Amino acid sequence: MIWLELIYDLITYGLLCYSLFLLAGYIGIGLYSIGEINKYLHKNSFTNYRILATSNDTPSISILAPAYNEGANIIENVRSLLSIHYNNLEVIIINDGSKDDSINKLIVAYDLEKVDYFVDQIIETKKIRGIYKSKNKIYRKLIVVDKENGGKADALNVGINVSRNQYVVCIDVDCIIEQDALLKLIKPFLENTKERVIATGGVVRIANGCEIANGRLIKVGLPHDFLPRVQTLEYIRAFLLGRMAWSRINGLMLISGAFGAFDREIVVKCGGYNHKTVGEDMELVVRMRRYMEEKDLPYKVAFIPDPLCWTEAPASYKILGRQRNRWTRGTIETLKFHKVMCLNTNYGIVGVLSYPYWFFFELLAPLVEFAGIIIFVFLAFFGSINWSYFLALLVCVYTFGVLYSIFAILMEVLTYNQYRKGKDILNLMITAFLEPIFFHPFVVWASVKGNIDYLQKKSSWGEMTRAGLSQPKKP
Amino acid sequence: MLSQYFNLSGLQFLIALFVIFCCLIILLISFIAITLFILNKRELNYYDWKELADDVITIAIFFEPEDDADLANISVIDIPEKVKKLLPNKYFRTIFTNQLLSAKENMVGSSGDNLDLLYTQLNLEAFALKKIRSKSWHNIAKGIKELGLMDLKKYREDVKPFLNYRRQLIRIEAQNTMLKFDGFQGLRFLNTATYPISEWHQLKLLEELAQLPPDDFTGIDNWLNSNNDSVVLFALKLVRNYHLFQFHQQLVQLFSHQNEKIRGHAIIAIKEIPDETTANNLMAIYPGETLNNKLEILSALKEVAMNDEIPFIVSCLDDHATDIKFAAATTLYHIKPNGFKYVLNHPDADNEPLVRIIKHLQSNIE
Repeated sequence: MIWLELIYDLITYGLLCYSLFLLAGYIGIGLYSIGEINKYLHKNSFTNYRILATSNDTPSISILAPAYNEGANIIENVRSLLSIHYNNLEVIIINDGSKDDSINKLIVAYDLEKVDYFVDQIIETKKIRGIYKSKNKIYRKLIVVDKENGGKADALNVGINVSRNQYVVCIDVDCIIEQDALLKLIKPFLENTKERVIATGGVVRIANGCEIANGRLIKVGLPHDFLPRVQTLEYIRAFLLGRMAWSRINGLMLISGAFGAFDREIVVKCGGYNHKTVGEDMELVVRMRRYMEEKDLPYKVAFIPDPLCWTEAPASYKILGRQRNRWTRGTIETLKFHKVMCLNTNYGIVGVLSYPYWFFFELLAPLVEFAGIIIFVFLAFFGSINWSYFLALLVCVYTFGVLYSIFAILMEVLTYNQYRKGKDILNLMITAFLEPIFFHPFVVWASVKGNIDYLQKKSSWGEMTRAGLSQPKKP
Repeated sequence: MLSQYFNLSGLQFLIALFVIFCCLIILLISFIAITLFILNKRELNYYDWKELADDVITIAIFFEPEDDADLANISVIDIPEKVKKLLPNKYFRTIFTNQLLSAKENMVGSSGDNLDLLYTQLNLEAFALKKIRSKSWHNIAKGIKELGLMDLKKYREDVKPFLNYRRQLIRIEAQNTMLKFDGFQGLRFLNTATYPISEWHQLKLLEELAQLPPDDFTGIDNWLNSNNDSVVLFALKLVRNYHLFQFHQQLVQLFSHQNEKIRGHAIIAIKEIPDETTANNLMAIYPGETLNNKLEILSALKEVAMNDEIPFIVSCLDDHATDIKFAAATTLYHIKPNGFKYVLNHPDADNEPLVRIIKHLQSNIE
């Protein structure tokens, strides 16, 4: 009986310690991000981006946009990319063996012709069927690559092979990019003098509810449906607080696949994107960091809090579940590939802080939470629950979750204040109260499913059906 | 007993925590509400006040002083009473100053001088000086920037201490301000700069210099020999952008600099100021260079190589690196009229990857 009591105490206090560490982590991240955002905003007020937009001394950039069955919106999306402000730019669209008429639409719309464009196969990829350039000089920045289907990572690797520029900016073709996004994203590469900036990420925001026309964001709005709205809150929390804090200590392990800039030379030296994982965006950043650490080269992964990229969030639980399932599998795969870095001082801050954080708190948290629920049901069945203690703990955790979200909303209001109407902010605050009840359990379940699917060796991307953003959304 | 004790205290602790979290939530929500109220109120005022500022700025731009007016001592531009009353309001003053600075950035000549006059007349420089003397780094930087934009040279000595300041933003603004005050002479800070000058700051300086007449280039020879590598890189950009042929020999000396980046930039710069020895100099350093610099050399040879250099470039087609093959073939393609024939007649012309490189060049994609 003593042993049973000991195990019981061990689980109880173990979980308590884990939870306290988790809460302390959130508090630390929240507070630590304030200084970084504050510093960035002040610094940014001195920046005249016109200099970058017009200068001939700026570094060359290639935008890489893989497209698979994007025929419905591809013309507008490419037009939006071509209108981005930057002098020294090429836009590479990679048609990843689409089954629809994407390539034909592009050929007609942009007056494309097949050319004998030389591509050095530095990174091994699926076969390129053809490379197209426009006969019209207005579109001289555009290169369209038609290739056999091989997935997003493979398509991006083709883009890296085709590109000859200093930096590559990888984006999802269906995202809406702010016109000055590249200027802001490229600045950290030019600012740093102490270490080489190998990658930069920007904030991704939810576009559902926004007014969009011709591939451009006209007006920011809060989504009306609960699921996209709760993801809006989730993204504010993750990007404005989480990533800013990690950026401050140069511990970022993830730059969103939707929009990120990379030093091409380092990407090539690392072998490009790994097509054996569904979390190719995180895996690349971790591999680049690992490469720099192993070569003992000073480097930085930068992050800027400006909302630069707007993406459509899943509006149904089915699609959301697939997305979160994939994210979980991607995280497991990445952490497994680079397990040598875990708690390894040779890998600096990534080894001793970022990796363990991702393992213990991003990957294990949903599993611990799920295990906690099972243990709770089991103990409740045998009448071993101290209900007053349980209820107090539950409301504590709930109020902390709400508090963290409200803090994120405050930071949003104090910084970018994208949702200007009081009604929108009120809606976001109501969402903060509803999220732990109606959204969080689903995310935990999707993550557990991701773990199960990983163990069953499922490697599918999971089809992401989208409603589309090209039509203006009614307020 | 102990367990019971912990249970009880744990419960009390959790309840206390819950109360604290609830209080913090209420506090934050109140703070959000107040912030939104202030922001909305400011937004309402913003457009009116911006319009008011624009009106005064327009009056100042079109102001024509009388011949005998003592501009330094009297209030000559007619300022509306409303503006005078609002000026002590910090938010209005910020809007007004920002509008004035933004107008000044786009104005030259007498209109720009009038804006300087308006700034002085409203005694806004006192606030700029107050910013410089504050402890907040961004305020100091803002104050310095204001003085520079409004061309207040008399405060040169107030700006000087910040030229080599440890905080980058303040240093950048002080250095830019000296450039605004003294033109090319303002670059003297490069003689003593100990901190690296970021590429972003170099872009800003080049942009600032582009507004000035391209003369009086003194000091570049010192900067090309600076111990601060970023100063050397900046000097190389000046040589390149302004085609300063007199520094050709110093650039050749930089080909043996230990910093790869400086050697690379020297190669880029020298193709803008070539002489009859340039091609030979480039070919001489080629074997010992890094891949990136070899590519720069081949790119420079595209501009300076003649028939005599063709055998060397043809030999580069045999390099194992595809990038080098591509660059060499491209260079030969640009040496008219015979260069490309050497690529076509190369023994590997029908083999990979040269066969595809040839097709690429023949389709004239670049």
